[in-house]
Amino acid sequence: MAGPTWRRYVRFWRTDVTADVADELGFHLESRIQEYLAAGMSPEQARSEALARFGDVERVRNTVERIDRDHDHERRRAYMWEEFTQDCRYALRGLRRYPAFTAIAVFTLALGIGANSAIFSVVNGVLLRPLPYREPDRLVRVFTAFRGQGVEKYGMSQPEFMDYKGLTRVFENAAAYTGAGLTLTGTGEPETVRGIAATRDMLPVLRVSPLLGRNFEGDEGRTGVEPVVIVTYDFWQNRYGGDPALIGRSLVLNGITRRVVGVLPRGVTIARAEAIIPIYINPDSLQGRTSNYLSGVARLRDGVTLEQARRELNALTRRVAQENQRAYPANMGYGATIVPMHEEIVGDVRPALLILLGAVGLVLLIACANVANLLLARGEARQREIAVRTALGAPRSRIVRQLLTESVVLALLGGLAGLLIAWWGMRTLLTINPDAIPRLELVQIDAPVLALTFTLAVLTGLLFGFAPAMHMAKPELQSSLKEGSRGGTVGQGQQRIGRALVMAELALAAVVVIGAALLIRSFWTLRAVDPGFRPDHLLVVDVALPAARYDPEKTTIFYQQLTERARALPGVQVVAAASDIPPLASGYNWDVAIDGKPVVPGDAAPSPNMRAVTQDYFRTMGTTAVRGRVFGAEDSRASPPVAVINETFAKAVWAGVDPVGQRLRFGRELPWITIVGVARDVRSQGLGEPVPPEIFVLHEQLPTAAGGTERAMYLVLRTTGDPNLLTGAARRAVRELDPAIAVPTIRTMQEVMRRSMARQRFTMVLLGVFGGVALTLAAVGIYGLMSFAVRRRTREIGIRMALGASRRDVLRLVVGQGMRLAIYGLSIGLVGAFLATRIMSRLLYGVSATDPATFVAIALVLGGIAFVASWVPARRAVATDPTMALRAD
Amino acid sequence: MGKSDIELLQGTLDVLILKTLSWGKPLHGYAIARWLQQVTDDVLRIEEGSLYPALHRAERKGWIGSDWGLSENNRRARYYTITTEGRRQLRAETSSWAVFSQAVSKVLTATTAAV
Repeated sequence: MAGPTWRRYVRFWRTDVTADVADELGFHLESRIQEYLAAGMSPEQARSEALARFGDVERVRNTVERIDRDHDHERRRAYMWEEFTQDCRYALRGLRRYPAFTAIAVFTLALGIGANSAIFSVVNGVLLRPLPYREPDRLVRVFTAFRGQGVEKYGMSQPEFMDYKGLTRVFENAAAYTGAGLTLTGTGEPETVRGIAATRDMLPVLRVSPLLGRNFEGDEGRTGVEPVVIVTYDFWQNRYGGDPALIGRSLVLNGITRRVVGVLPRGVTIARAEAIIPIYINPDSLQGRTSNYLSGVARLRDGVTLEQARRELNALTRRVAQENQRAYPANMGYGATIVPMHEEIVGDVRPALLILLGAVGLVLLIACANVANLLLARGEARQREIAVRTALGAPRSRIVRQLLTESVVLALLGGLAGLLIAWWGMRTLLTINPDAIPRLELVQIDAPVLALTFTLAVLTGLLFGFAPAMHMAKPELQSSLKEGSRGGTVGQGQQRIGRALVMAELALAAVVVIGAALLIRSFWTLRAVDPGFRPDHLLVVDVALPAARYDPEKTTIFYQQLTERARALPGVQVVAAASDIPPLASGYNWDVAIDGKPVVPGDAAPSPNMRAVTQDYFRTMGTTAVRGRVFGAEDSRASPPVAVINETFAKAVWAGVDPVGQRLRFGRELPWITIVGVARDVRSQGLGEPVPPEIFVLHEQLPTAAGGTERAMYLVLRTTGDPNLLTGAARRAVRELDPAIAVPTIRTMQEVMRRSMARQRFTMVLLGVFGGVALTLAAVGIYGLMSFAVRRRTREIGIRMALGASRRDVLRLVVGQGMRLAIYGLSIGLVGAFLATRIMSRLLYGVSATDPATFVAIALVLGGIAFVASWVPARRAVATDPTMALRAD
Repeated sequence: MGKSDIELLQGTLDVLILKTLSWGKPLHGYAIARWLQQVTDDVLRIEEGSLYPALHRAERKGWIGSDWGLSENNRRARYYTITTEGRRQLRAETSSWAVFSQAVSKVLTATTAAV
């Protein structure tokens, strides 16, 4: 049987494969049976004969159904593809027909999408890409903490490291390292090599195997054992052209001949080092607990959570503090901190990057609103075209799909242009600001970035295209074919969309611009901070002497001679050397004992940051004494040891008492040092950072006063003219004293200051640019929307004026309506900004995240834009002759 | 089963179908089976069922088209027609068949032995 008739109607729309095949095969069998019956067979015989002749009906049915189903799919896919390509062709043709519209829309979208691609490529490279070690998420950094003094991350001492490493329930393995400035000699010019000294377990902890050669072995690093070194792939490639014979060759580093035993794989480094030398920690003779110079890296055992590890470490440190009360007075709050390694590297930049990501997201939304507005305005012109297509039988869904295809094509063009902007932007960022962010060198436009850009473009197209498409495909609009003219008033739907867009743009722009303004204010506040010294006309030269050739005596003489030579250079006013200089001083805290103020048992001794300086340090830096005097000619190697302290340290120990004349010392067996003066506080650790307590000791008195010396110093020259002009002379001065000393970096203090603010500048510049883009897009968008709305009302305005309304009335009406929208939009924006900027508070310096002045100022600016945007078109409308306006189309 | 069961290669069945339809008249599957039977004097007595996968495959390849119509006895039947693409295919197959059969018969009627 042919089946019920309704099936035919179903079939008219879509094929019913099963039924069709059953019908076809059934027809065959029945025809055959009929023939056999006609030939005189009995019905049963005819039936079985026909079946026999046909073969396996079931199998044939299945085969045929399968073929038909595949065929059906192919046809449907081909049809959809054809429809899609047709839509695309149609869209491209449409875009070509309105080149100005297309150019503006593509440019707007390119800004929005490009900014997102650029920031995402940074986020991807810096935050998302895993570290170049095996199973990097199990790696943690381990620190000693003195929570009683607010110190969360401090270096570990050897016994502390051995304690932590012994927590084998928690850590699979642990390694320690310390920075090592290395000078490579014997290959022409002495060169500086960024180095670290690491324990043998460093590579196993990171699960890195050398590309060539081997890891450290045995007790390498111990005095008396052959000195060795492992270098990075880049070091090997850049300095030795990838020559495999480097393994086994010797490098002279800091005057010590070291055999190269290994080369790390490509892209792998540790703490940005180029060369790794071994350190040996002898478990049988550990150094004291207060010599905290090691950085720790550990691998968590499988299944151990960070929380568990923290608990175990806390239990351990509490026990150790109990057992070593002399090393760990109770009020120091000795403990340990562990942080996932990836977070330790990028944790600082995460908030800034996420805020930038948020900002570009908002900028893209503003761009969407602008393009949606453009589409709506153009929709006016296209209503007839759409009406014609509808009249020709295109269903609404088809028209919506076609309009959306157009938006997506537009957005894809925008995305393509956006990639160019992103690429260019990234390159600019990398060249302007290479130090701002760790791992920035890993940033590139790669597959994930391309995928994100594509997805973003498609989503963007759907987002900004949706409202206009739905609106334009509305049946009531299509009556325009009959009307052939605009009515007296504007369509309700269009007005509603337009109003929503104005408010959205203002709200979004308010959030971004307020964020940017806060950051800019914060940056200027930071720049205006008094550093406590005069950073102009200063040249900074890094000098490091190898311990192998310089004992304390020779070191003292070297720096005395160096400062004398430098002072003799023409154009130099005054010169000093210092172990640490602002604004990036790291420095070690040294425990001091104060004469007449014994430490209460259980309390920590005062522990200022110690800086070794030469006689003219304060005069060179331009830092004055607030009490007593700074170092002078009366102080020498032979005279009694003296010190200058800073205001913070003076306040901390001698609150209300004059510290000048007081005495302190660095150890029981070391002599008392007399404080001769208190110097102004200097922002030695960064402009935005608190000032640590500091003590300055004469470099030449260091062997007597502190029982040691400082071999790595900064030579600081105060010049009369441009300090840059003296770089060559400064380098020669060092070279003449010792040709084997590398002079890696000579910078002006201004440059050092600028670099110290690189991160803040990076964030501020980017957010400032995005704020500017947001402001411009919003201004253009609001002006467009307002003038469009007013133009649509020209006729209404004409009627009002013909009925006797004055120009002022009309102006007030139109501008009033615009401003009402602005107030709604800005209110939403201010609330949004109030919520959003609080995430920024960590990035802000000296400005509150909800700074009222900024909020009010930005609200006024945006309100002003909205006012101009509605006033200008309104002016134009009332200026037209009412009779003309009435005739206006 | 039939008197001479010749194994039909799939490709051969395709050609036969195309030839059957090449007169331009739309035919349903049963008619095609009957015609093949008559022309070949029942020599090529195929399992009639195997005709249908061949028909549908040919349709998917675009060699033939199909449409539902009413049969002589007023039943709904699926009628097949050859397409331009199908005619081209038939021409190509016919000429290669001629070359092939000529070659085979030359071998079979050869008079000189292989060296």
